[in-house]
Amino acid sequence: MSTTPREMSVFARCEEIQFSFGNVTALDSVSLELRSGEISAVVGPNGAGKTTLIDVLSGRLHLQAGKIFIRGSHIVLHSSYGAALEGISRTFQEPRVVRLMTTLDNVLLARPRQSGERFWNAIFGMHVSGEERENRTIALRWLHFVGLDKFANVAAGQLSYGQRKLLALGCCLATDARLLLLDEPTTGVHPEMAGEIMRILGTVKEQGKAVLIVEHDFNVVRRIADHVIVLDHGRLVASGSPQVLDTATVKKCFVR
Amino acid sequence: MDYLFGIILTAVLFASVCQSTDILVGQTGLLSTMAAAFMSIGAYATGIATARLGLPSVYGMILGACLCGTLGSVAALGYSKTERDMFLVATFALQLALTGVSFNLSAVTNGAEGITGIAPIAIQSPAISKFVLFMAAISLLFVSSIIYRNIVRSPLGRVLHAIREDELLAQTLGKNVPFSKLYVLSSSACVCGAAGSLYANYLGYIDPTCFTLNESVMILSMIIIGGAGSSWGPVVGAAILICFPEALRTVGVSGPAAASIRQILYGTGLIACVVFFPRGIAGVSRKFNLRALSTPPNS
Repeated sequence: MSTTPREMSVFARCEEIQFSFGNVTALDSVSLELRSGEISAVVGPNGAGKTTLIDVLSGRLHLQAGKIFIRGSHIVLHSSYGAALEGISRTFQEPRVVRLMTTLDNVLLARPRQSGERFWNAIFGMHVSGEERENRTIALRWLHFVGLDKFANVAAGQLSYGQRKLLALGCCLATDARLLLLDEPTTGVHPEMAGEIMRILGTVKEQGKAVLIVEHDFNVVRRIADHVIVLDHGRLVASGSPQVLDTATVKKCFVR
Repeated sequence: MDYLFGIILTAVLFASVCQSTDILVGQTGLLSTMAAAFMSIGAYATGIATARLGLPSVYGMILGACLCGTLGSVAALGYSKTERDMFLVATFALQLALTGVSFNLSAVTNGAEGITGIAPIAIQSPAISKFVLFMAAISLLFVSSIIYRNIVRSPLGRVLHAIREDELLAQTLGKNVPFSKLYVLSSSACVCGAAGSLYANYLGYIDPTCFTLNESVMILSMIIIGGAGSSWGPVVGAAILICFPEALRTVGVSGPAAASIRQILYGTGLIACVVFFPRGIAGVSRKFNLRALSTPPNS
C-alpha cells in the first residue's frame, strides 16, 4: 500500500485521547492529526478542552487514555521536558517569559542541547564559548525574525504585552521544535501586531513546521488556518477546512 | 590573637557556606535551611576519621565533602518535584532529621557527648596548624567563588534563573530542571561539607548542638542581609553576622543579659533589613551604582 505525501507529512497523531479533571471530562476520545507545513486551529466555546489539548500534547498533563504518535512512533509524554525532547514546544495564553532576563537571554535560554548547561562544562567552561557565540548569532536571528532585535538588551519584563507574546513565540521557535502549540497567539494584542504574528506564523508554516493554535477569533482562523478542529465539551464536533466554521453544527456550539 | 583568628576563620568558613548556598537561594530561588546539616556531616566525617580511625584530617575533609555531595544528590532527586515553599519545608525536615540522627546514632556520633580529640590539620605545631587551616579556609572560599562565578555566567546560570522565575517555562523550553537542581544542590553540599570539616578541625570537637536549625537559619539570614543573588553579598552578610555579635562584647554588653540583647538586636536588624532593604546590602549598592550611572556628569 503506498502512502500519499499528505499522510507522510503527519507529524503528530492523537488516537482517542482522553483527559478528565475529576468528574469533568475535558477531552473525550479526541482523535486528530497535525501535519508539518500546516497550521491547524482549535476552536470551541469556553471550557471546550482547547487548552487541555495543548497541555496534554505538551506533556504538562498526563494522558488518561488514548495514544499519541510522533512521526509514527507511539510515545508517552511524562513531562514538558520530555515533550521538548520530542520536538514539541508551546506558548501560554498569558505570555510567559523570564522577566528579569534580557530579551536576548530569553531566546538564548531556549536554544536546545547546550553543553554549558552541564555542571562540569559550566565550571570549567569546556566547549562553551564557541557554542555560546553560535547560539547568540542564532538567537539574534530569531529575534530579528519576530521583530524584537531592537530590544535585545532590554529586560523582558519591560516589554509590552504584545511584545512579550512575540518573545514567547521567538523562544518557542528558537527551541528548533517541529511542532508548535500556541495558546491564543493573537489575543489581547494590537491589531497591527496580530497581523505581524499571523505573518510570522505563515513563514513558520512555510519552513515546514507543524503549528497548532487555539484561537477565538474566527477571522484569524479563516486567514491563516489550513485545518480547523472544533471542540465542544471535550468532544471533537467537526474538523476540516476553515469552511467548516460556517456549518450549522459548529454555529450551534457557539450559540448557547 | 587566638580570639581574632577564631572570628576571622569562622567568618571565612561561613562566607564560603553562604556563597555556595546562595547558588540555591539567590540564583535558583530555592530557600534552603539545611546548610548546617551538610556542615555537620563534614564535621562528623572529620571527627570519625581523625579521632576514631586515626586518619589525617584531609581524608576526613574529602570523605565529608563526598558524603555531602552524595546526600545532596539524593536530596535533589527526592526534592525534584518540590518547589519554593515545599522545598523550604523539605530542607527544614532534613536539617531536623540529621540533628536527630547525630543525637541518637550514638554508635557513630557518640550522641550528645559528641566526638572530642579531633586532630589538628597539621600536627607539627599549633602555629603551623592555624596557618594551614586558615589557608585551607581561604582556598575553600576561593573555590566556592569560582564555582559561583562560573555557574552564574554559564548557560546553566540562565537555566537556574529561569527555574527561579518560572519552573514550568524552563521545562517547556526543554531544560532539565531536576538535573540542574541536582548540580547546584550537590555542589553546594560539597562546599558546606568541606567547611564543616575545617570548622571541626578548628574547634577540636563536634557535638550535635554545633550545627542545628539555628545555624541553618543564621546562614539564610547572612545571605538575605548580604543580598541574595549577588556574588559578594552573602560574603559580606557572613562577615557582618559573625563579627556583629562579637563587636557587641566590646561595647560593654556582657553577662547573662548579653545573649538576649544580642538576639534582640539580631532579630531587629533582620526585620529592618527585610523591610527597608529587601535585596540586602548588595541591592543597596546596586541601586546606588545605577543612580550614579543615570546622573548626567554635569548635573
